[in-house]
Amino acid sequence: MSETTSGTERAGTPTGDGAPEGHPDDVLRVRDLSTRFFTEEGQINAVESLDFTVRDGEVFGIVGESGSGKSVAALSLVDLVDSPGRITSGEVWYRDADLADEFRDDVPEAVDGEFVDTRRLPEGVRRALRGPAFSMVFQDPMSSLNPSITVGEQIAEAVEVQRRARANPRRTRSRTQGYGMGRLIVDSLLPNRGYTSESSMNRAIELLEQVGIPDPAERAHEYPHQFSGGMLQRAMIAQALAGEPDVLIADEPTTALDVTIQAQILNLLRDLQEEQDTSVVMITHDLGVIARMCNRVGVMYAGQIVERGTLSDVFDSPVHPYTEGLIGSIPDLDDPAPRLQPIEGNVPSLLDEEMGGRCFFADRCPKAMSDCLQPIPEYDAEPGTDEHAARCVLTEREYDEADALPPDHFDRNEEVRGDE
Amino acid sequence: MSEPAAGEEPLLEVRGLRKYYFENDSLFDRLLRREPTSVKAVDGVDLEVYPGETLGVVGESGCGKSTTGETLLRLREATDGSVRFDGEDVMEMSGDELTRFRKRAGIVFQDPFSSLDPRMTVGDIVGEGLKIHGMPEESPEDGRSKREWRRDRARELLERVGLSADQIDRYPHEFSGGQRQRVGIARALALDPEFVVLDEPVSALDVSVQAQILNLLEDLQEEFGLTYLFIAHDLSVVRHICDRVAVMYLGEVVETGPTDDIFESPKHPYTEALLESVPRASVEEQGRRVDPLPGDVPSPRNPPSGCHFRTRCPEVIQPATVDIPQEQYRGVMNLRDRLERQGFTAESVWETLESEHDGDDFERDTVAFKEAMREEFDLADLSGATMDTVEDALEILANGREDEAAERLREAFASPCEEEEPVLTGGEHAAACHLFADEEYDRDLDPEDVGNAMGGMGAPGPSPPVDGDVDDDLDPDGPDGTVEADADDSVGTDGDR
Ligand code: SF4
Ligand code: SF4
Repeated sequence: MSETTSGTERAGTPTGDGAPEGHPDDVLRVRDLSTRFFTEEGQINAVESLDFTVRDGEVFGIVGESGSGKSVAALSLVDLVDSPGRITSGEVWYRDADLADEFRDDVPEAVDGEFVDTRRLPEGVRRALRGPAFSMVFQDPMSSLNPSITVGEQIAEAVEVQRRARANPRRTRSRTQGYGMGRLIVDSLLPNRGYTSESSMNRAIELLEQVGIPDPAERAHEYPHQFSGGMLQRAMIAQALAGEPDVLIADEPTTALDVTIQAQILNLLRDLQEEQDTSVVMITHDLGVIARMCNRVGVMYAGQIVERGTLSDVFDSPVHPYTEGLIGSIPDLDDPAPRLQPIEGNVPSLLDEEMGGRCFFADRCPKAMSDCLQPIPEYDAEPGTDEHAARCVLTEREYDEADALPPDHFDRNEEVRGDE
Repeated sequence: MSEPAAGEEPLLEVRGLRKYYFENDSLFDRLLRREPTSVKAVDGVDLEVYPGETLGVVGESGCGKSTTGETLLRLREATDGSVRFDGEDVMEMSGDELTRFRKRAGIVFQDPFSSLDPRMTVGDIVGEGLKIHGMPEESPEDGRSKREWRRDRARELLERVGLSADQIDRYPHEFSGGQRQRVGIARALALDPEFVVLDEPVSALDVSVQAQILNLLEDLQEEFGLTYLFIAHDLSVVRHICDRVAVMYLGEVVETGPTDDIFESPKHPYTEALLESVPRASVEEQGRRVDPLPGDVPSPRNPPSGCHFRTRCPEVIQPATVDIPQEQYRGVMNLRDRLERQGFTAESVWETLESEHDGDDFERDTVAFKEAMREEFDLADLSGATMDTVEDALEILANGREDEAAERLREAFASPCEEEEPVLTGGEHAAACHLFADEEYDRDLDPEDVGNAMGGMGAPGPSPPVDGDVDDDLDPDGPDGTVEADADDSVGTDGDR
């Protein structure tokens, strides 16, 4: 990560000792994170060797199309990948001085300065970080709100979990299990447990008010189905805020919403991030949302971050032909351009056996060359900066027609795929 | 892609189209003497589509755009209104006439996953319409059987939409989303239609694939001289592909005009807000804050009186007796809307105040109540008579007399926008908003907007498509025979993205 010479191959992604180097403001450093799904059809490489960092109080965007692995990447950060999926490698270094002190002696390999590799912490501890360290907001409110419990009670419950955790960190950490998906199951077995205290409920109402829900005291007693889409999204954000997380991970938080409601929710996220100095990882397919919200961006394709950098690195001087293609595909609201420039073909299947040891974009890339038929590491795209990087040989060399792959290079073994 | 030539006859002309669904209308409900409620999914829509053009119908969930598309094709029975296709009355068609219309007017649906029968091969899917319409009528002269002729036609169509003829015996699940949408397009083209309703045809697709399909649709239009009605919620797509646009809100068209006019100088406050809200994919967008519209779209079960948009409109017109900053007027109107239409209670405010005190003793005191209300509804900086009225109303409200408080506010603050329904005015680029219909109401206009606004008000040109009597024939119970039980589903179809 510290390599700054242009064209020098990055240190790659070895599982090193300690946290990767980075910016002093980093709150999260992810290295070589890979997640696979083991299905009947075979092994699916949903997330492949991710490297990125998130800084204090910034919005880091991950943009990709369906099948790019962006949602699995989000779930992997908070360790919510369900069977048949599994995180197969990687480190998620999270900055928390107290946590580092707590584990420095017991698990020394998981601690480096103020950073802790959550992947190497005991599972119970890692799960207890969901809430105070990381919180997640999903596209579909029903994935985190139980339809049979009032909205207020669910948020109050999240508040209680946090309060218990804060009162007695170690004990609760080891005991709290499955605050997240598992909770849904518990909830459906034991509805209306009603063990939330009045004071947690009051805090829940305050949170609902903070996220802009009118008549919060009254709405707190309502069930999710009584809320509109926009209001549910707000309620989910309130729930995620209950733990006062350092990092809020929002997976397509506005995709299901109408554009005027989307504007409300984006404003809300922006306010929360500014007022509480929360870092946000914003995952979306919408380059417009990325542009409005993000400071730095990673573009995902076929499970990899294929290009990353500041917003203007990625939007104004993209290096990777996929990034260029994505931008060329979007109709411009302010200029009815004569013709769109789509990317030919379809996203690959991510089946391990079909991936091959080559650039994953080569079968659709208008500039594919013989050099591209080998695994492509991440290269610095600009000398002197650590920001702008791409997994593409064009960071290294110019496109040369003489080296171009023949147009039918990928047709031989591929029938249905790639004919769009 | 062509601008309608002057004097050209529209291929499709829709007038006063209504589609209501009725809830609580089962036999059981009638036995219990429940009043049926109507859901006004489409509430008096006028459109015309000229030969060879693409008319975009754009709006958010529940605005009735998809229902409009399906109703004008007679895939749903209209509650009221007329549709003329090439001069003939579609609503009156039956038998052969209707069959002929179905050949000439096709549809492509949004969801390429659910709109193709998974048990049929794509060849059968594409050729199905041919078979239903008994095509070919005569056995081909070259000795092919009718079935072979249809298969050859399906092959040709698959090739034309960018698939391979070899894929004719494959099933939908073997294709990606974009490829399935190509199959859907091939199916719509099989009968050589002149007019195609494209109902959110690219909404379910990734942007890179979406661009492929948009290019294909443009090519096909040019090659076959097709006329499109393009239904979408994505404004960038609409800008790209449409010649003219109709913007819908809560079952009505609020603005219509040439695409460039709509996007470069929108008239209706709703159109302005929509355009303002869209995040642009460019670096200049970074950190841009939009002033979002307040609240949610009201339910089509109970649309607001007068202008349907007035509960959220940032420019809602003040009555002649009131002259306060617009933001505060909006605040008063928000409070009224909550009281009148959303069952707002003083009790909920007290509860919120109590919860803020978290366990401490809390004395219900009106001063704190009013303070909280002023803050929530932006009413802090009022003065003079207006302030007195608002203070009065808040006092009444704090005492739990919601109806009386609402009444007090209504007397003093009723907007012309809630009393009179605006009609589309302004000729080619028309908006249904009192700001453009009547010189009586001033608008705070930017200098460069004045030209447009004035043009809109007084411009000669084609007569406005609505004669102002849209409401006269509105029968609240709807004519017999149009009662349908699937109201929720149908209204919901618009919203699914
Ligand atoms: S590495 Fe080669 S194939 Fe891959 S994106 Fe770059 S130029 Fe295209
Ligand atoms: S009629 Fe009134 S409420 Fe409706 S859009 Fe115009 S100004 Fe706004």
